[in-house]
Amino acid sequence: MGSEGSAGSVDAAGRTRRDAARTVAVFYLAAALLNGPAILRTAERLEHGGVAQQFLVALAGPLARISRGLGVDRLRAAAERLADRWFAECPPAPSAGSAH
Amino acid sequence: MLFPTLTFAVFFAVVFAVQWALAGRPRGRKWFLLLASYVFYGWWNWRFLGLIAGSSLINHAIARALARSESPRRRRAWIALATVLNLGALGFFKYYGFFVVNAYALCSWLGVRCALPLLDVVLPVGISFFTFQAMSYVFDVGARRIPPAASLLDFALYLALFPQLVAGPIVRARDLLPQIETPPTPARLDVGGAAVLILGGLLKKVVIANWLGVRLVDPVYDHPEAFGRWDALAAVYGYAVQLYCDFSAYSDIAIGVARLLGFQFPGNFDAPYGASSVQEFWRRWHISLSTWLRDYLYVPLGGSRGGFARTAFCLMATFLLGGLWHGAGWNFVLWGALHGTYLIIERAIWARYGGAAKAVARLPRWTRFALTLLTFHLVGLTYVFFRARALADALELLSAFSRAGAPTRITAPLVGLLVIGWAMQGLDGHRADGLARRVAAMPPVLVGALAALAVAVIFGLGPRGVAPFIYFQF
Repeated sequence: MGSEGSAGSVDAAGRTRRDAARTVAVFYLAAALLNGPAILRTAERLEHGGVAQQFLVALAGPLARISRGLGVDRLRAAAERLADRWFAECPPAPSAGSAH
Repeated sequence: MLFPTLTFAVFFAVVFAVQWALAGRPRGRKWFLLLASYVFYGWWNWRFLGLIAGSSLINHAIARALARSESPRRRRAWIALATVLNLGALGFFKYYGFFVVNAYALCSWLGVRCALPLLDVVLPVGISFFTFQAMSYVFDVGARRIPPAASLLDFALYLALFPQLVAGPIVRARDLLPQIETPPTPARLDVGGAAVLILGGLLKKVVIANWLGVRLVDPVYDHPEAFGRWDALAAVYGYAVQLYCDFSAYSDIAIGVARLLGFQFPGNFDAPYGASSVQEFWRRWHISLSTWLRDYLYVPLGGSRGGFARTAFCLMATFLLGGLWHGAGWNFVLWGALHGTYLIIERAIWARYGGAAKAVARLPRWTRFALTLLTFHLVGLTYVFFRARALADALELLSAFSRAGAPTRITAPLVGLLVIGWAMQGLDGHRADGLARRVAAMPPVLVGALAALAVAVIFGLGPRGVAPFIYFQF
């Protein structure tokens, strides 16, 4: 078998479950704030609709407002602009038959 | 449900919190994880929940009967029944259309009438993966390598545990079942390792694989007649890196997510494009499938125990079936046949030097490097048959190599992605252990905050929308 336990394995260097839960909680809170407007956009476009979508939109609306208010959405916006600049320069895919 | 989505983020937050809240109640935790896994699978199409539940029920019953039976003949009959039922379900959902189309073509060629019904069969996501897991479980119980699962709940959870359910790794019962029977409640969780795996996986999938697909690989493969040799070459390199980044990302995220839940999965990739032979490539690429094929197909067929001709037959049969496992199409059969051929030729060349691994290790460094380049190009060119939708499309792309024309798809950012995607192999296997240890040594709040920053940048850099993982179609 290949690389069992890749990227570190559970050992004494791991975290207690309480610390792990704290890490995950901080991650979710910070990620929600940093990605607030993007989460709202995604929630509004969810296919399933219904209660799940309404719940996510209701949750993401205030998040997006806080995110914009604190200005922490700028990191993601900057990354999006960078990606647009880097990858928009490729010409669109040709239509069939437009051979050289 | 796809990993890099808002839906999965919400789902995982609930699963993480509840399953650790149930840590003191193993049975309740198992029921909850099974329910969560079925929600994860049913989110795509709830109608196929019956398939995985039925597979759990039937394979569990057969394994119990196998464990009870002392008669070799009866045991062989149970194993044959399990094989027929599992392959029958896989064959119907995955290969029925392929079979009917080819049957009609054959009948037409022979001038006879064909009356097979044409059905629009939907391929259930992950069926190839959970079917192989179920089969290996029954084979191992039949061979007395492992005892049967203690309960149907344990086996159903083994088959459906959501991180590995739809695209692997194909985790063997001997590795996962003991963890399910006594759910791990480690005092310490490997958050550093999980963070490196999940964030590395997201970078590979969301940024590298998705952009390479959208801007380079898809345009060229969709209209190969519109491109010349440089774009075709870039698309061949692009797909090799895209496929690695896409599939290894799924495995890494699955392993990382499982680790946060306390489960240990084996690794599935080990810097495959650093291999100096095709044989070594298959020891490093999709390790859980290649070892499955080795243990349950190649070795039972005779493996390398007979002469050269017998070994060549076993290799070819294994890789033809391995090709078909990936998809119902002649392009996949040809892809498997080419790999089988490479392996047979390698075996013939290296046999007199004591095998490829020993012989290559003795070669000078530059020769090994040249062999690594050769292996990568062989594997990459062979992917043309894997990526193309049909054999004719693959040949059309290969014919683009004969056409002149200035490159139109090669830009500095895409070349950068190719290089970074290739370099991401540097995190495979144990190579990232040092980084994981450094992350583990940071304060919990800092790790959470840095991971959130990384996620914001990764999703910001990726193209809009969510592309499904390539291996979902298998």
